Formats: sequence, C-alpha cells, structure tokens
Amino acid sequence: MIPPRLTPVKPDLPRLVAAAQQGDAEAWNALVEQFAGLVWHVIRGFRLSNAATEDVYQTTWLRLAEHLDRIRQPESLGGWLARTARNECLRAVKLGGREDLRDDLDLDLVDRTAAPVDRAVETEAANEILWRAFASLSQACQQLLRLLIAEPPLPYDRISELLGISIGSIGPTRARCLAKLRTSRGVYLLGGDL
Amino acid sequence: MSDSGTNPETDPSVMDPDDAGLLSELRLAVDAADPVPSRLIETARAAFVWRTVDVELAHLQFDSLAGADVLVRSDTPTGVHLSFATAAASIEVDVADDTILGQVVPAGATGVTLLLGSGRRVDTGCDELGQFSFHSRPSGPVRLVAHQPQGDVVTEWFTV
Repeated sequence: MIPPRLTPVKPDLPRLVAAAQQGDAEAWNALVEQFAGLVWHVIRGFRLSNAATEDVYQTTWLRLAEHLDRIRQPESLGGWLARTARNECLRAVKLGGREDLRDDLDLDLVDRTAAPVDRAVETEAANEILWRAFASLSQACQQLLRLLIAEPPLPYDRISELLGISIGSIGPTRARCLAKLRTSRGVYLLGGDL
Repeated sequence: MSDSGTNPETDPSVMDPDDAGLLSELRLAVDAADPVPSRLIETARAAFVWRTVDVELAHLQFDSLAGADVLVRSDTPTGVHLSFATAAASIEVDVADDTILGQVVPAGATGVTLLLGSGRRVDTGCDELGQFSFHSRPSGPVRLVAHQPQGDVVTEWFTV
C-alpha cells in the first residue's frame, strides 16, 4: 500500500508563521529548515550558473520575508515558495548572458561535508550511480522528479500548475521518467557510459 | 476532469510500488549528492533581518523579464524595465549596461538608496523631476528605498 501523498501539514506550521510574523527569528529559522530543500529542488531543476542559483535562492527568501505578513494560509506556504523560486529561475534564464560573467568565481556550491561519514560504502556507491543516472535525464524529467521527491511534499495540483502540465499527465510522465532512470542506472551499473 | 480522481491511468496518487520504491531511493541519492549548501541556508536565515514592518512596500507592477515567452533566451541581454507602485507613488527603473536609471513619481523625493542583499547600501540624490541614477549594475538581489517627504517607500527585491 502506497502512503497517500497528501501528508498533513505539520501542526506547528501555522504557529511558526504566526510567530515569524511577530518577529520571532527562531520561528523563521524553523521555517527555513522546513522548506530549504523544497526551494533548492525547484531551483536545481534549472541549469543556472552557480551565481544565478545563489541569487534566486536568496531572492526567494527575501521575498518571503517581505510578504510574510500577507501569508493568510500557512498550509500554502510551500506552494508559494515553489512558485516564487520558479518565477525567479525563469527570470534568471532570460537575464541570461551576464550569468556567465560571474561563473569564474569558482563557487563550490555542493557541500560535501553534509554527508554522514559513516554511511555504508555500498549505499554511497549505489547513490552515486543513481545520481549520475538522474543527471543524465532530460531537464523536464529532472524538474518533475525533483518536485515529487521534495519535502514537505507539494500537492499534485500545485505541481501541475508549476510545470504547466495537467494533473492527469503527471502519473504517466512520472512513469516514463522513472523508466528512463532505471535504464540509465542499469547502464551505469554495468560500467557503461551513456 | 471529474473522473481523474479514480482513474489509475490519470490519478497521480496511484503509483506502481516499484516506482514508489525507486522514487524513495532517488530522494536519498539526490539529497546525498546535491544537498542544500549550508552557506545558502545561512542567506535564507539572514533574509529575516530585511523584514520591513513600518516602511511602505512598493509592489512590482511590471517586469520586462516576466511573461510567458519562457523559451526566449536572449544571448545579448538588453535593458530591463521594472515598475513598482504603492497607492500613492511609483518607482520606475531602467537597467541597461552598467547603469540604473529611475524616477520616483510624484516628484519631491530627496533621494534614493540602493540596498544590496549583502547589507551594502549606496545613496544618490533625485533631481526636481524625481529622476535618479546609479552607475553600477549590482550582482545579486537589490531593492530601492525612495526617501519622500511623506515617508520612505521601499520596493520589492529584484535582480538585474
């Protein structure tokens, strides 16, 4: 039995939003912790330069800080953040050309130290292969799968809105993308190259 | 689509168990290989200090980079035009090359401050028409504060 995807909103979300609205920095930090990964997944679905990735990430949270008082439905916060981040990504793509100017800053975005050191070697290798297989997928597949694995989960109607695809096509597209992922993983497992 | 909730072909909450398993594996693999950099979490936390409580916020009304033509990518980016407004004032912004030109309407603002997400700030004056200019194109998110006799007005954050 597959657990239903519409997991309930964490009961403390309305309280955290209300506290942050009152200026409670601890509550804000808790909100950041809860949604940091979701915003990241939305942005990483785009092939932006490191500098643009950082700008969009920061802008998204600055936007939330300035709109915090207007958040009336805390349960929609994830969707709001995802939409804001995506709009900024689309804007960054158009801003285009000048991104490259700042690409030579050599920003190492990937934080390797975050990985637990005692993870079993096999798991690490399996993860690495799956990650490489994922990176070989089309941008459309990567965007959809990232929205599907983001925590806390986005409702399907929100995913449909963000990607501009119907709810009905999410299932079939997901199945196709996962089939490709499986195939790529198989190729990499056999030591092949795509 | 009234039947989409029950048709396994079209209801996304119905998933093949193998697919569900692969998706869970993928979540772990992506989180391990591509975690949120801690430095970015710090910038997200720091965003809270920019919360404005007693300054009027000018909302974005127009953005020449917004719109549906998402596939159009300009290889030679030209100017960006932005327009912000409150009920009583508007701030027009034109960014081209390395210059930000703008105007506060109605005229009468004494000056404009450019605030950078890094905390840096740059001040400039306004002429009798409310026009102002900055001779730099900042990287990263910025916002403008117009100093008017009636009180300050601050724009939403934007990147140019």
